[in-house]
Amino acid sequence: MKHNFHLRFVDIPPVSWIVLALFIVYGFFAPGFFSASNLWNIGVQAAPLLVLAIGSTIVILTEGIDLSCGIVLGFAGVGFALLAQHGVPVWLAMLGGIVLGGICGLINGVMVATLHLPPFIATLGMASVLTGAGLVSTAGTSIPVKDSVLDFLTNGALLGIKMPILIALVILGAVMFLMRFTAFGRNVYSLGGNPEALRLSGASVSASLIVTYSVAGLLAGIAGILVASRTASGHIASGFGWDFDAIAATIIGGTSFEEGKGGVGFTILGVILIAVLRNGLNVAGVPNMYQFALMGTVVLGAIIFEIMVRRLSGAEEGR
Amino acid sequence: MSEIAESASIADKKSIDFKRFIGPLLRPLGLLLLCILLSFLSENFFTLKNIISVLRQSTILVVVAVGMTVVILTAGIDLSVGGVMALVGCLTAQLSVNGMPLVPAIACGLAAGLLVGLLNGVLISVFGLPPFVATYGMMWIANGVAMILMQGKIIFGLPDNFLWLGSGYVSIIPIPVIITVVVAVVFHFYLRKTVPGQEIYALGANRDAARYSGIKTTKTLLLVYGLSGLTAAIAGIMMTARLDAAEEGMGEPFGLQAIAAVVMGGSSMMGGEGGIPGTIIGALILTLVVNGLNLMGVSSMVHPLVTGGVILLAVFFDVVTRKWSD
Amino acid sequence: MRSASPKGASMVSQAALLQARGICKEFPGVRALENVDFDVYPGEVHILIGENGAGKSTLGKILMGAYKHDSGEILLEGKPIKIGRPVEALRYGIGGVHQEFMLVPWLNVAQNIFLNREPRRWGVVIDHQKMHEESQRLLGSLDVHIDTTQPLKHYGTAIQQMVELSKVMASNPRVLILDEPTAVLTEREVECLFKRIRELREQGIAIIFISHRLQEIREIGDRVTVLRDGKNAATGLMNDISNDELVRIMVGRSISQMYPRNRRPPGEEALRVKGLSVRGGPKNVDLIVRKGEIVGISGLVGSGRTELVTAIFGIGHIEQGEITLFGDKVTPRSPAQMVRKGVGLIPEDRKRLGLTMKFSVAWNVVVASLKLHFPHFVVSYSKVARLAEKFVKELRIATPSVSRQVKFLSGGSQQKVVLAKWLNTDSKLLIFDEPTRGIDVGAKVEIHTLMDHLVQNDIAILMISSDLPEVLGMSDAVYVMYQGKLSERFSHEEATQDKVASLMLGVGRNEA
Repeated sequence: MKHNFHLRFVDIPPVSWIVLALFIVYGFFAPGFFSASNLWNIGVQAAPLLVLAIGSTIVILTEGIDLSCGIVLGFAGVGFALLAQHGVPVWLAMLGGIVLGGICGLINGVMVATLHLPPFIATLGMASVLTGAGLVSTAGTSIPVKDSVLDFLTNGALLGIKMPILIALVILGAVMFLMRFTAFGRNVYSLGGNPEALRLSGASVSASLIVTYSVAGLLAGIAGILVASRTASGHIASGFGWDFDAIAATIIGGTSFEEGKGGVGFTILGVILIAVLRNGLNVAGVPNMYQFALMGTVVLGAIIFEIMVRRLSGAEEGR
Repeated sequence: MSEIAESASIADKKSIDFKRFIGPLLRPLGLLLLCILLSFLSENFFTLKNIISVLRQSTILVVVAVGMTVVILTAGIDLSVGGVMALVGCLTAQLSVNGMPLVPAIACGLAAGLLVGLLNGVLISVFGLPPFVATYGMMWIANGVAMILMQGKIIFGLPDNFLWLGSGYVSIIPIPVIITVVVAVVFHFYLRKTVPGQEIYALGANRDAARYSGIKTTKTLLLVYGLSGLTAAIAGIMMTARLDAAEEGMGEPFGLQAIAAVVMGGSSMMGGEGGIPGTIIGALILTLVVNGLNLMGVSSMVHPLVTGGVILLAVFFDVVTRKWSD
Repeated sequence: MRSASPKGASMVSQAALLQARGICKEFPGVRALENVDFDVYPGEVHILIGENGAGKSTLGKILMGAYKHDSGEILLEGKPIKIGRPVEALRYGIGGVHQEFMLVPWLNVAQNIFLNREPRRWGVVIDHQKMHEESQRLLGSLDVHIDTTQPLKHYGTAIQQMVELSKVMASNPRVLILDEPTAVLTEREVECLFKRIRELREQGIAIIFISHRLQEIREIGDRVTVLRDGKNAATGLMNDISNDELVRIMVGRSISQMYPRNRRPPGEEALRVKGLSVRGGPKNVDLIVRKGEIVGISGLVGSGRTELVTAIFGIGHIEQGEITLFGDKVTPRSPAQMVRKGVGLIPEDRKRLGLTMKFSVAWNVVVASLKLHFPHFVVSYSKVARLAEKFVKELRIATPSVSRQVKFLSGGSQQKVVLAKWLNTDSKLLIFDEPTRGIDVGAKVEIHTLMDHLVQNDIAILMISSDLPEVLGMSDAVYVMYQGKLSERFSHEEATQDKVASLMLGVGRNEA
């Protein structure tokens, strides 16, 4: 009988060390970094990404992938802006945008679960379709929205915490609760670990998958509303490229593509890393055009680092 | 198109499974129907001039799709091709405009594409990154480097011998078409008639069994992604030559369109099935669809919608027919 | 032979609790069950026995709802029932423990036991506390005391099986189906399991015990049914049938026919392993295989044999040790390297690792030897077809043509294709991991005969087998693996059934 109790050690994601290192490096090179306003700034920038990445994480736990979440983010924003523009009350328009995200997620789920399309093709196709639809419905421009509510959502604070961060943390807490204490969470893990076991136990694998993707879509919608509030407009490309960040955050946070290992809670570390990285580059005055390449390199590097550490610690047994 | 071309290498020539028989015929049929449809939209369609023009238009996509075919055959994906096209196009344009002679400039571009491809291969086979994560990341990096190279500007005014690659002719056949045909034929031969080609199919159909049979999986994956990078490089150079311009976003739509072309052409996303001839038909269909949309005056913003829809439909069709024949 | 109703435990009614009549089941290329009858009474342990591939596991899966039968009927207390899924079977009170566990690796033990049946607070919230308490209790009754908050993946196969068993017991079944439960257990664990089984029998539960290990079933069984080639071969009271008779009925032919031996004295060393330790596998292994001989490694499932041979083949991580192949020291790094050096592996999981199912026979036969036959890079289909046809004839592979996809072939023919693949190369050392698993008896004999021919031609064979008669019958020398440690080498004469069987279970070892 093998009783391996290395849990404590292995469970500290290696990325924490990178984040620590980054903090130190930035402390030296970017003087403005540790100011309170900058740190809040990081948080506010990171909030939508966190929400998005949570959706990414649950999908990846089912051994799937969502390459459309960035576009869904923009699409939800567009939906919200268009509704608001046509006179719908702001709260309702926001809800509309979120629901729109959920519907996109639902369609993704149906494609994967019922039509058996490979997840990355289904979501890639969805991203493409939504891009086209978004461009057409906005004629390629951004739709402005003006309302004091937006200002509150972006700059307001409750209990001393800025709204976007608060919202993101509340959602994180809610999803973590769902994952641990409800059938939903158990299903997500089972879908990734052994869907057969789930099926044999009487639960519907298709339904669980569809719900998972729908939730991811809803989360992307919420992230879209957050971003739209900040930019006071809806533009289809506002989340462009965020899917990579979300996936990267998930992997860096320790959720693996095999077997449903990992968890939503760890993703926040990956998000912090990426947000800190971006912010640091900005504060240090690195021109925008270098950021693309740099971000890509560092993120890939962090993913590789995470994988190598996992491999070397020999945590994957029995394969 | 016989069944042999559709299914992998030496597999089951005699399967009389009706549904599998229909599948491969569907695509050339669809292409034909599309041509007929388009000839109604524009009287000029079936003229020699127009056919050559359409062929020339499809060349860039075909070249990229050929490389993508090889990757998809291994059950992988290369999302970085758009970025590689941009990178190589911009690189060769820069070098050329700054005085480097044609051949070395092109060599540099090809080397860059190959390098990116090999990096993809390393990330995927050595580090075990899922292909869509690795190539997506490389896409950002490649695009990023292109941005750095271009500093937001567009390059015009390339030397004549460069432009000849894009608009020159050998008798009545445009150079790009010749390049494309050569690439397609070489790859087709490589896949179907050589030992490494068979190993690629093996890898795609069942990677573990391939490994257990003594196939060098790491080497083969490196090769596959390297080739994809190479074809993307060729396509980037062709594009620059044709447009007499290079800018950082030039590769953008091609990544998705290449995937669409390959899947439409009958290659399975699960790997191990498909080939170049199917991809060419897929690319032609896609080009014609875009052509048709333009003829009807539809804005180019709709293109991603169409491409996405096509991919989804094609893969759905693919999955359904494969389930039947299983 | 129809069975008498079992004697023993006091019974209220004489009616069978669960009955199966005329069950047929086919898989592509294989007829697994043909017109099989079976029944079980409350308060009895009914052993279902047969060789590998006889159909006992399939019948068990059908009864527990994991498979659907093609024809025939299942009756519960005389009334026909339809079971489409295990959860439906559970509702009828029929629970089964598979050989392949239906568990989720990264959920913890308690979550696995209560999958989709978690105790809830306020209807929605999963009550982890209660779940753990209950799990501890269930496992405790099997004498298993572990931390149920740990992910399942942290535990070995034996514990996982106990978890699987607890999962079934949690729903209080009336019929319990156990499929090869002792395959991964130590002697002490087997004792514990048997104690629990006896307790359940006293409670009036009907137990179906699927096995092919004669040693144990005698201890626990009341009645026994033998399946052979997917059909009923015999049914009767345990006490009325001797072990020899059982073997005869199971196998249907004499030992010498099953295991041909026409050996010459072995030649020089093909493989020598010294002090080999594999990560996640056996430690400190010493092993010798000579040309012209068959060396068999016996042992329980999960004892580490597959890890040993895959490491030798270049897969897996070697921590330390020396491997000498045909006189040269070698560090296996990849199968490609080992294949070039003349080693071939016929893997245990032939469908996933030995063959590419959707490709043709011809393709599968040449895939390992492409460079050998086509040194000039270019492949010629006609040559491939010719080579394939040669082997199809020589090995008598049952296929209408070499272009047929291998997934349509029977298990025996598939295995022959895998073998042909290696015969097509220059392999001088062949490693067989469970050479005749899931193959009908006729094909088994053919494969054994082929192996015998191979060693006559100076090939060296290293064979892993869980089939004790096969190991004893075929091998020139025998090793036994137990929990990652390899025994000393026994010659064919020294390796008796009792000695090997007890070593497999860990009895009588010099070192701890």
